[in-house]
Amino acid sequence: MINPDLCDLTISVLHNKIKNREIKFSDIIFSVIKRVKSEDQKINGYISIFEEDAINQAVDLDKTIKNFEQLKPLSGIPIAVKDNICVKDKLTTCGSKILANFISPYDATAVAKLKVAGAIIIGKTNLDEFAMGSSTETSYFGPTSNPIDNRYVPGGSSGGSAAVVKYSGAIGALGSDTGGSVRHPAAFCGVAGLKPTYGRVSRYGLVAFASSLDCVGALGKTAEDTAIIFNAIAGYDEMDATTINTPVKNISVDSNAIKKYTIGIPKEVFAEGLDGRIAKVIEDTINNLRKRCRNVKEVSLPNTKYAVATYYLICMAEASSNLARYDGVKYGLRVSSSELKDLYAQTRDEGFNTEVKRRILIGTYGLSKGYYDEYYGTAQKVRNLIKQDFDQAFKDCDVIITPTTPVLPFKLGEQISDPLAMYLGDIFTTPANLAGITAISVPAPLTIDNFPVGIQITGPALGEEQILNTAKAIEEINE
Amino acid sequence: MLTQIDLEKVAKLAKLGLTLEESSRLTGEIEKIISYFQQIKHLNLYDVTPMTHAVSIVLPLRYDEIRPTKCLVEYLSYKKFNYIFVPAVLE
Repeated sequence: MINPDLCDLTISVLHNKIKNREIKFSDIIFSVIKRVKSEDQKINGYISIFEEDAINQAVDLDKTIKNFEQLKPLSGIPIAVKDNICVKDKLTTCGSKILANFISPYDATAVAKLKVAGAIIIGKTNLDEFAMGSSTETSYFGPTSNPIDNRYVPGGSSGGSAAVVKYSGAIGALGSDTGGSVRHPAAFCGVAGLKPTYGRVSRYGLVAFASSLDCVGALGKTAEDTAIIFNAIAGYDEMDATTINTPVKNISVDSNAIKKYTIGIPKEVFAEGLDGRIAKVIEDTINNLRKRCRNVKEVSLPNTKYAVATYYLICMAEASSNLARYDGVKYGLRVSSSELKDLYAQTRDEGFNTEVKRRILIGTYGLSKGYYDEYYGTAQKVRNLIKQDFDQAFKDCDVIITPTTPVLPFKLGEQISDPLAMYLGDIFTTPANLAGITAISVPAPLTIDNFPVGIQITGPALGEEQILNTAKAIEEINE
Repeated sequence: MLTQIDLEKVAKLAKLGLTLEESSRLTGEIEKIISYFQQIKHLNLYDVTPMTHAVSIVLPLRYDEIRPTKCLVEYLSYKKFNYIFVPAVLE
């Protein structure tokens, strides 16, 4: 068997190799950069790469680290950051023309915590503009391709992060998940993607899209890798009043814990709209899981069928408000005009792509006089029903298993002109954001025709440990 | 039913300049999306409380002390003599 390159290894394996002095920190960086240079031209996963900084940091670590017993879990590990999360003195473009030249003056809290944990930020990854999309095709910097087959989309909106983890252009990555944007591309690219409980990771420095739903999440080759990143970035932050002020337990993933769990399968999942090939893979995985966990039972989430309509009404309303700040006055793109009102309109017309405009328009419509109660107010009530469904279900089970997406990866350009079809692909991921709970996607076995499938494990608020344990058990079954 | 005139009014509220071609195309697309959203309007939501946030937010207080920070003006892209520079607002 050919030895894998260092960049193909997981965080924990690399950590142990460093700890045992088998490799140097710089060996990892050189391996990752070599892979980026050979792959990223065709994948377009990165918007910017910090090659020189990363090499310097690794070389410094080689010189300065003496105590290898006390090594931090992420010491010297190259992590990519989605380009809507601020990294000090680096571009933060959000994949948009309107911020194409914006340099962030500060680190997002999640990035600052990664740096404290020893990680090396290797670059900023591509995304759907302002994280609005499920295919990573709407970036001003061009679409990202799926590393499994370049003709297909990588999912989205954190498609760059998922793609670079898949082709080993980073060992792990940060993404953002407003309606599935970590889990969806994780499913399409065959990697693991964790969306934490809302408020468990600070949003400070994450460019706001829909503030009541946005989460910073982690992508990695395995569930355990996402847990290591999550351990580093979780916690209260005085810069974000919505962070949860309770102690964070360091999670050590243990697949044997699932013996004690009750696994819930929503009866509504295997309904019309789910690709039969995905259904088969998920059913087979659940049947295999029964060998390790005897308590598998049916639960009901009757209102999740309204999740897409509810989610999009809320996120578009919040987006229309959050994106009002991009007006060409203080920073970002400015299209010169002799009149201020034309400066606003022309800057925003030229700076935003069609999908962002579409969402701003629907959001403004839904918040306008006469329509507020009909759309936004109604969606907020249905959001509560969806949360109540989960509250009820988690009285009877510890985790809930569903597919991550109802459809398989599609070809680049295939759905870009049908926004509603694109939105419907978020049916299984949006409920967790609406309820503010945690969920992870890990790879299930390939379909009969070799497409990747994601299996989603959802837990209650602060239930990261149980979903990660279940995810690891599923990974072991599928090995 | 969303008309192109309605959409242009909304675009004005959102300070979005749209070309005629854009507003024509977007009207049809947005009408289709809004029609899909109508499904939640028929639910019985009489006793349901709106959910605005997933966590209960307590606005924390801190001591009113000065913290070192850079002046916001330093970050402005369009400035003259440390002021934001825009076209004349008053004629």
